[in-house]
Amino acid sequence: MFGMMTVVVILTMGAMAWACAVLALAMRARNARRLALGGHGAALAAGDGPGISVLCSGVRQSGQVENLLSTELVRYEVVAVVDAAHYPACFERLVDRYRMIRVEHVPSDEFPARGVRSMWRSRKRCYRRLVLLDREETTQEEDFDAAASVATYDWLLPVHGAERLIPGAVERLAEVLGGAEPGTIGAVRSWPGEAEVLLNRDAVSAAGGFGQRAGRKIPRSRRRTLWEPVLYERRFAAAGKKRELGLAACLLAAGVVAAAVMQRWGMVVLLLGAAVLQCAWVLTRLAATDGTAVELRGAKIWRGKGRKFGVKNFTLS
Amino acid sequence: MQRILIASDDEFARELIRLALGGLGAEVRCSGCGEAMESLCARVLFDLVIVLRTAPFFCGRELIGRLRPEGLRRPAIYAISWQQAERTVLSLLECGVDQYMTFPISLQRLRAKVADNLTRMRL
Amino acid sequence: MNSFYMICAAIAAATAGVLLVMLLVETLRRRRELWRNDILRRRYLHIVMFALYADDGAVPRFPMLRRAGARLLLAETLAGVAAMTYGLDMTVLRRIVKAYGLDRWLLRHVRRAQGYRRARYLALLASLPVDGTVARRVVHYGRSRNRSVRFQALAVRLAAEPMSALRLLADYAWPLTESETAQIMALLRRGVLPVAYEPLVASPCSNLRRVGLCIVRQFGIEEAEPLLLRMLADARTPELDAEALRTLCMLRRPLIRREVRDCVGRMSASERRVLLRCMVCEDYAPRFLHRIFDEGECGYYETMVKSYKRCLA
Repeated sequence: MFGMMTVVVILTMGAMAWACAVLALAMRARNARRLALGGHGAALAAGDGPGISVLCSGVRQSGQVENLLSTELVRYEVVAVVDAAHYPACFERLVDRYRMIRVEHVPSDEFPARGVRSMWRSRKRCYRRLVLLDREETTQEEDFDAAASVATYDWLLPVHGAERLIPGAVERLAEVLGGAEPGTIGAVRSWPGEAEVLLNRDAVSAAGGFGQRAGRKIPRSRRRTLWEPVLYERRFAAAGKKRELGLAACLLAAGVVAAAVMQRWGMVVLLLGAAVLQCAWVLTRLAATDGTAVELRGAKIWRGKGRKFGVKNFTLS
Repeated sequence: MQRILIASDDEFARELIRLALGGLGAEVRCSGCGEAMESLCARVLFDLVIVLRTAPFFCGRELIGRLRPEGLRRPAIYAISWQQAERTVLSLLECGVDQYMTFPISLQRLRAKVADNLTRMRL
Repeated sequence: MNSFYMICAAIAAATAGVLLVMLLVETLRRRRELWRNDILRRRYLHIVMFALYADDGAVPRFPMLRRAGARLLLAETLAGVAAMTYGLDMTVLRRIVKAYGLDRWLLRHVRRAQGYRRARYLALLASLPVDGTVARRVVHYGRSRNRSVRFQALAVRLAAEPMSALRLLADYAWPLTESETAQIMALLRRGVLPVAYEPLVASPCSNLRRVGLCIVRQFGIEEAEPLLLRMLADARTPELDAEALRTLCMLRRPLIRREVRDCVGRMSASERRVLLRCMVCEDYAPRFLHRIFDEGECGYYETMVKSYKRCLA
């Protein structure tokens, strides 16, 4: 029992060290993000930076496509895969809204994909960033392969189900890619948030497609982490946990005092370790969401600041 | 009094443009770029709307149709953003945007263009 | 064993204490940003804009400048105005910077800060109208281990001494990334740097050539074609050759040239595919492609073209 407690204490100390290291990285990334935000978007001006193709599987709402298209990046496109046989209303809505016409789909040898019935592009220039694929619904990986086979750009961002992009996230990804020497990045991960990964097209192709867990085959030295969320799922985004966190902090403090009074130092270490993990988690989330916004129920809410953007009226004479 | 709306989620850029357009004898209002702008335009008929982003025109919200009542030439719509790509400019003009300008912007030039537009509308 | 637990408890308590203090500071900072900074930033912007339009030679007064973070807000406001506009009377901004000692204040913070925070203060300095003295005081940051710090130090020097831009860029020992080139282009668009692409594209220095190619692309300078072809023929740096080829594509110039064929021959298979995708975006016809690319690549190109609406329209 005594030996087990020692192991647990050592593990707690290790977890604390890990949490502090993660926090340091998140803080560093926040400073990098503030430096980039100071450029006021000048990096977007060139229009010849890295190109990103968003591959979207399982689109059910046109609002999701609208969200995915809401980025200022020039070299950017969204390839949405929908099964028109199962979701004819959704497919028709997209075709009508974006004035899509059917174009020829030729299977590619780069990402072999089965089950593609048709391919659609917009006849209006302003919607040419959207490509629609009608494909028999099988697995998400096969949807991504089919979407990648018609994608134009060198970076692929798979989007699952109802996920939406946090405003400004794609621009930040492009800044990360543009800030590195060419050929040094194979994948960009995001933390905290969903396990989304921006992947280099050649790396995915070399791995044999999305079904082969392409992200894991890229060497660690060529992976980067963006310490901020990129995507969010609408149904989870509104969760608020301030009160629960406060209660947990109070309970922890009371537990630490009680254990210290009873001179149970092992227990004190465990409880303090939990407190450190909790603090590090809250701080990391604060650092990661600093300056990023999510769009919820039509209102833009700045996550980090908890501030709503309203309409401001001014009159100048 | 003529009315101008400046729409942007970047409060700094919005203020900068608003201050640059002071003294033109027009009522200048500001709003965010999303539904706030659309609901304001549904309530008030503006003479000029300046949108400081390009994405709202390309995401499928049919922004021009929502800002400009059918059959009217008002409001004139200006877009200002950092993008300089040819295809962006062409797409915006095809959408129905009247004027496209890029950052960094000459505030004097913008002011002159807006003043000219408002004068033409008054005539 | 008890003492081991006590040492661990002390370490954990100290760590928890430090993190709690950090959490408190962060919460207070956010509250300040929420309640004060937005209002103050807007007031400062009003004052700066009125000073710019009035231009009566007086230095405007900024309220609450002694409060924590207010000077940084003023510096950010001035930098924002300078970054988003061109053709403004910079003497007014220079007067404000001098009167409130913003350059000295930023230099002090550059000295104290580390990493990206240092780079951020340097970036603010680069956006403000500062003189050669400030540029000389940031020279040693050009040897920093942090890439951003090195580049922002260069940006300060470029903004302060635009006439020495070519020399400064040539002396910069690290290859410029796309973001860094875009920042230099932003300086150029504000009229801070001269737009002379010829000496840049013809230069033996790869950084100068990279900036030159970016100028050619952004301004669509078709007259640069002979220079680009000469660059391809020289074949000095492979990654810049690919960029030169991309530039030719973006200018929509004919690609059936000996220089282009040789350059494509030197490229790897994945680089050639990247080029093909770039060519599709620029509407190149697949007709004469077999003179440059092999059969498989021509097939790949035709697949992409066929899937594009523009070939049907």
